[in-house]
Amino acid sequence: MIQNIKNKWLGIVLSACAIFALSACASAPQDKVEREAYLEANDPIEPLNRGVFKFNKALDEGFVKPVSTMYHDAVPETVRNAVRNFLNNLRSPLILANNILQGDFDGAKVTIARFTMNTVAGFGGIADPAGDLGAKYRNEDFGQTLAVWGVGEGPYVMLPFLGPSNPRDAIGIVVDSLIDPVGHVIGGVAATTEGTTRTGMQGLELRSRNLKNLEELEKSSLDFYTTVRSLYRQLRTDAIKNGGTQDTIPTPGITFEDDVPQGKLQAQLTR
Amino acid sequence: MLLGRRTLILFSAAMITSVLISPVSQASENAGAFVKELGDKAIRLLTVSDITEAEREDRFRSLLREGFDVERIGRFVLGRYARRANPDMIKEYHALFEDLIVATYASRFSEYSGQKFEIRRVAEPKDTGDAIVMSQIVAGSGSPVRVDWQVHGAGNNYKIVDVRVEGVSMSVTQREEFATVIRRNDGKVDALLEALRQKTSSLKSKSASR
Repeated sequence: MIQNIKNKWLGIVLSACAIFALSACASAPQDKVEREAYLEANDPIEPLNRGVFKFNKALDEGFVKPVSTMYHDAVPETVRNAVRNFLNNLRSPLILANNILQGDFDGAKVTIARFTMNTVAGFGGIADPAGDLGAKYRNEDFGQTLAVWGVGEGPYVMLPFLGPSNPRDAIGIVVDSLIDPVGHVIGGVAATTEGTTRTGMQGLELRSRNLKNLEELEKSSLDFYTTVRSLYRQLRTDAIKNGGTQDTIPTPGITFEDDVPQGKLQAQLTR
Repeated sequence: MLLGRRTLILFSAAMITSVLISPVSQASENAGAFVKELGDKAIRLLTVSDITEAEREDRFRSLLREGFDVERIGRFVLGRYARRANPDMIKEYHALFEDLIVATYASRFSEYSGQKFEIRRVAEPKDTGDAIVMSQIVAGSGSPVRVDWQVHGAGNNYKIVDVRVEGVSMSVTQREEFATVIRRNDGKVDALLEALRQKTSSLKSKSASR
């Protein structure tokens, strides 16, 4: 199996979460207003999730953020862009697989064209001439594919190290690491090293681009845990709909009633 | 390589254009013009560097009242907990909610560095009757930020009722935050008011010391 160690580790983390989840599951409140709020939050293991969030945050403040800041300050923007482009390009085969699994053949065309052009004319992927032409990078993953197939997200889960997620997206992470064609081409132990390095680089790259954003967000937030939960869900919904370029953009926000019942709001959020 | 570099590049360029070109909606020009005008006005009035932060906040507040239905947004954000609040609390809540928006966003205009505000197109989803004005903010380098404005109204009386940045709705995010604060304080709306008082004063003192 490709990327064996990484997956084993993931498996341990996920099953540990499942065990904790069962024990930490708080029962829904009886009061009507509280009950609606509880259901809307869709976060039955919130106490545990908050604990993991605290752990992740400590890890971020003690290690990830300082390293990302160093990377951001020490490496010129052009180089960092080249690194991002290269990592994005390397994800193309996996994105293509998910495009096809979602039945999104226009998306598949763009992925092929981007990969071809950026590899050939973009010096092996460090430049993004296809993006300059208007074909912007758009990530796809198996979590999104499952959503397109109609699989619901399930309750919110904060994963250690990996951050906000849910059962559907967590399964997506595992499947992606199994089917990534790049891993299969490299093969063996080298694929594990490659996979781990790539995941680490992607994390560093992403964090270094959001240093200021996250700081501002935390500063203006009344409850940062909830802000992150809300952002994660909304960004995922947006990614699943591929940026809502259709005119049927959902309007979860203001739809007349301020008292939107939970089911309706969820329907609006996920449509 | 079997195919020449040039052929490959031309071929992929052709594929990109074939997918990207799509018809542009002509409808709701008014709503689009309204957002464009408001955005340009904000850039003109709020990004100047020779005003005090207090003046910037005042200007922001009047633009906010002019262009947004703040009360309606506030109602949605408080949601079902409004049932637990008396009229005085509701009144204070709306005042604090506006203060929070002003304290959070006004100072950001001082960091303006020539970003362009462009309207992409206007969509009219069937479900609400509101227009969605899709815009983007383009900085010199880096990819454009997608901002969608939900606009309610007709003729020449428009109000923005939600803003979505890269698909993230400001009102939905805040609704969840506020609900958490109340829920974690035994369901008391007073706890939210207290948290809002603290947040707005701490944000204000920060922008004053800048």
